Amino acid sequence: MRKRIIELIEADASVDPSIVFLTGDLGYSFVEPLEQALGERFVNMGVAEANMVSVAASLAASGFRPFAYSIAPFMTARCFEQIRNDICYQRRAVRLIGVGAGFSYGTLGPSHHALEDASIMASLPDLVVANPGNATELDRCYAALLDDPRPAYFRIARESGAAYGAPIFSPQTAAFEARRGADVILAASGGSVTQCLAAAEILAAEGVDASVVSVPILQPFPVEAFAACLTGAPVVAVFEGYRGNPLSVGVMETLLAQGRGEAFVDLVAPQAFPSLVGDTETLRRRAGLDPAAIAARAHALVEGRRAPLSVGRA
Amino acid sequence: MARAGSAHRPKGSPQSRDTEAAAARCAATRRRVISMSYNANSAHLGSSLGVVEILDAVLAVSDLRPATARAAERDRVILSKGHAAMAYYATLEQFGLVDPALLDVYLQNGTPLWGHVGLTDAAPAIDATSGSLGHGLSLASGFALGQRLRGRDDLRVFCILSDGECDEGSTWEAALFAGARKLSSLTAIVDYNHIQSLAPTKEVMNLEPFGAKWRSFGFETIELDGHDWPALAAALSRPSRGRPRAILAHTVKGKGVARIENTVASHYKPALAADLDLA
Repeated sequence: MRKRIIELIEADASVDPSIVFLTGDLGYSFVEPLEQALGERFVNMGVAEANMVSVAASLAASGFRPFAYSIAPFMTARCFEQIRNDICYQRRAVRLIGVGAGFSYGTLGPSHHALEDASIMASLPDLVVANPGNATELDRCYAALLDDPRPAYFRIARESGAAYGAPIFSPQTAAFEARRGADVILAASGGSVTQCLAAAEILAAEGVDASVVSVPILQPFPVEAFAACLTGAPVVAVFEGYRGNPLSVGVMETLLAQGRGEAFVDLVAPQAFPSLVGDTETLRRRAGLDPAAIAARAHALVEGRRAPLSVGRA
Repeated sequence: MARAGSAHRPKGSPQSRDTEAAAARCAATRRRVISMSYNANSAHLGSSLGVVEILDAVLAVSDLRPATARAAERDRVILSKGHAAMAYYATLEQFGLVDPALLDVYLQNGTPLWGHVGLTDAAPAIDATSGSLGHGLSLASGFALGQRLRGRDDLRVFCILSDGECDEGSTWEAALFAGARKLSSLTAIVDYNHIQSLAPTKEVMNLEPFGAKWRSFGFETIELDGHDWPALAAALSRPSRGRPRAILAHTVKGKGVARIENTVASHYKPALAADLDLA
């Protein structure tokens, strides 16, 4: 995914001389072709994310199309106020790229994990949050936001994601069925879509037919497009982030606002820094966000609903 | 509006006629600041009164005029110490860059000029929001980088900082960047009034040797009296030496209202009716 977004920017830059790429001294083995292509419009800003974000804001004010690139927590938490004041308050159409969504950086440790980045970015006015789950979704997100005057945050996972297809979408229509099924809806975003597709295979073997709804643009939440994917079947939201993430909130708001009454379970990472080392898959498993855990919770929800006199709840 | 010649051609020597006109503008700006603070019961009176000559000299040297305010390629002026908003608005008024009627209703509900500087259609000469300290020099560096990428190092970027905001790490991130990239269109002017929010800077977070710090970051550094308009104009308009410039302008917080000069309280207390007669 990291390689793909660099390729997209490189292709874009070949037709648009206003693109400027800023990196916080990161992107080894990925960004070199872009440096070749952009020349002086590729700027290594050093290990100074706050300065990078403000510089990007003024480049946007000067008529450039700036991208700023770093590892997700450094791109969001480190320089939150620069994003808030200099990009969002000033309405500068900067593209922020944070690589390492969720547990992507596994054994590198919690300093490099990105579990709150989507939440804090989604809390800001006018900032679009894109969270693509595979290269196709990334291509669609990039295209959908190409001429969008708003700033945007691209939350990029290290893994490629499963090769599910994605229709062309706009920010308003960025919710679709990556898999169709009648018994339960697994609503996910980013890398969690791939986990849910694997969970759906487990469920299928158990006789439960799961739908997987992908939401690649989380903020603003595509309420109507998501509501159109609801069928009355119970809903499990899955997101590699903490509670209160923009997927969970968007799903809950849609369900509540429409008074639909579907049973609902919110699967998120525990709001704690893991003390013991784990690779990406291990951390996911500990958090209950791996396919087996997702399938188990979904199956239980479906069974609970099938049981007589039961009330749908987590 | 492109300037002839390359870097930093002086637009007007600090001759006596200019100096007299500037003195008249600065006096009018101070009167306006005092009345704004009194009418709106606004804080930051001392911060505003101390930066009047700096703002006036920057605007005078820049190409910012009513005809250029909306131009894409022009000089940029950033008041990073956004709490001196009253002085900024009043100086913009002197240069015809904001509707004077908006200053009459400063801080009234529904009006466009906030107590810290924000972007607004009412004053397109304003190039950046400020209010949280430590952002301005980075924003200024971004404009300077943009000018560099367009081959327009002849355009200027002026950034006015407080001494207190030089406590912020991001100020020095920007200084390191601007120095390393030799962003010669950038001029940082520090309003060095030696007082920050709670106490004198030398007690809170000593900045000295301040000039040596800027020089070591790659800035041409000039120290001067920040109320000496001819000295400011000369320092602002002298030819570029191929690197960014820092002007450490020693000022008196609250300058012009004797009862508040050099006091911490002048950061917080609004003007009194009696102050209206002094200026």
